[in-house]
Amino acid sequence: MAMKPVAANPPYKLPPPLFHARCGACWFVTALLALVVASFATLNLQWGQFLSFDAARSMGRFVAEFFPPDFSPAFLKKVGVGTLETLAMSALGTAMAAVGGLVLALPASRFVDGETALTRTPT
Amino acid sequence: VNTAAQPLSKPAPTHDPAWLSRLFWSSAAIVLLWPLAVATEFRPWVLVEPDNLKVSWAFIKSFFPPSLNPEFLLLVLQEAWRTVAIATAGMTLALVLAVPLALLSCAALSVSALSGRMARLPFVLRQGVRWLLIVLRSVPELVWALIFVRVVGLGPTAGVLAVALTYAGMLGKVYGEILESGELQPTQTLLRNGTSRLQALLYGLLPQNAAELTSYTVYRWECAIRSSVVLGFVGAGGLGQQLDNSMKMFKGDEVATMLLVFMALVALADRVSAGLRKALG
Repeated sequence: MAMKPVAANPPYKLPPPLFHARCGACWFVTALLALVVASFATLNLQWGQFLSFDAARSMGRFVAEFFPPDFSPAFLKKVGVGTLETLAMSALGTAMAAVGGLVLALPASRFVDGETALTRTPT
Repeated sequence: VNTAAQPLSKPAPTHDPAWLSRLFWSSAAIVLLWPLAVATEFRPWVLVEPDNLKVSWAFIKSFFPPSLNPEFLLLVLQEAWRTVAIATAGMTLALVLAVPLALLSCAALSVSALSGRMARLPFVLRQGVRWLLIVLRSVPELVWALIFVRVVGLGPTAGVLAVALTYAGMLGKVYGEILESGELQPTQTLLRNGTSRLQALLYGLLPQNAAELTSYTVYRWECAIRSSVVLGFVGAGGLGQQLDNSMKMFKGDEVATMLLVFMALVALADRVSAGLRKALG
């Protein structure tokens, strides 16, 4: 009597099947598709108008107004100052957000499996 | 080498051995940030001056209790759906653009880079796609929206297109980088042994990075909801427009209700992302 071949990966080591009997994945995918379809359906997007010849022409005219870019020294100076201000604002804002975020992230994260903090779930 | 058996040459230090450099770099950061604070006229103490405190306190006090007027709630519900729909439609279109661009720009799928340097043409192509992504996301969605408003007029179409283009740039960049940042050996082994790039992607890169990619996507959907609020200010409709109206009329109770709706949406996105990470990771 031939022995049954032993599976290379015992079943208990395989990841759980994606589409199993209770099939959370199917429901999730269906819900997601429904959300996307409903979004497009209820917004009455004007694709006709967007893809029309008129639209292309007015967009072309608008983009043509961009050229040539204004490189006059006076304007460049204004843009330079604005860029520096933007950089300073974003750097300072990010630095403060990083400090504040760290303060919040430490108590929000779970370091040890089976930690007994009841309200914390692995995220 | 069995390091555990060797006796420790020094006892463990009882205090942080790097305290000096930590102190130095922290002070250096503060010194460097100081000119930035001056340049941005950052004066937080203005916030707590008694006059200003009184004004902001009055506005915040008007938040309570949040407006629960049924007529208004119905309006908020409709507008909230519009916001979610703009974000979802925008994200869908963004994904259509971002996924191919991310795969085109991803160096982990390069066959020529397996043996030394990437060949010239693929390098130029990947670099070109990266630049395209930079262009897409460096134009703020507000500016894209203003451009499209010229063409399609006020309404959700401009908002959806603006979200789609900006988010295509962000998603494409980050997807490409997530795929490159994982453990590359399985993918390279697959490619070396003659699989196609598609197979290397499906069996090497995606299984490793699925959780990360999904959680980033859900996070971006959350951001798209916030963006579509901002786009509402320029007439894309949705909660943003309503929020703008209520703010201008100093109806704090209505603002509070809408902020609660945002919190609920963000919390929902957070739950979904946590569940997906658990299922995929």
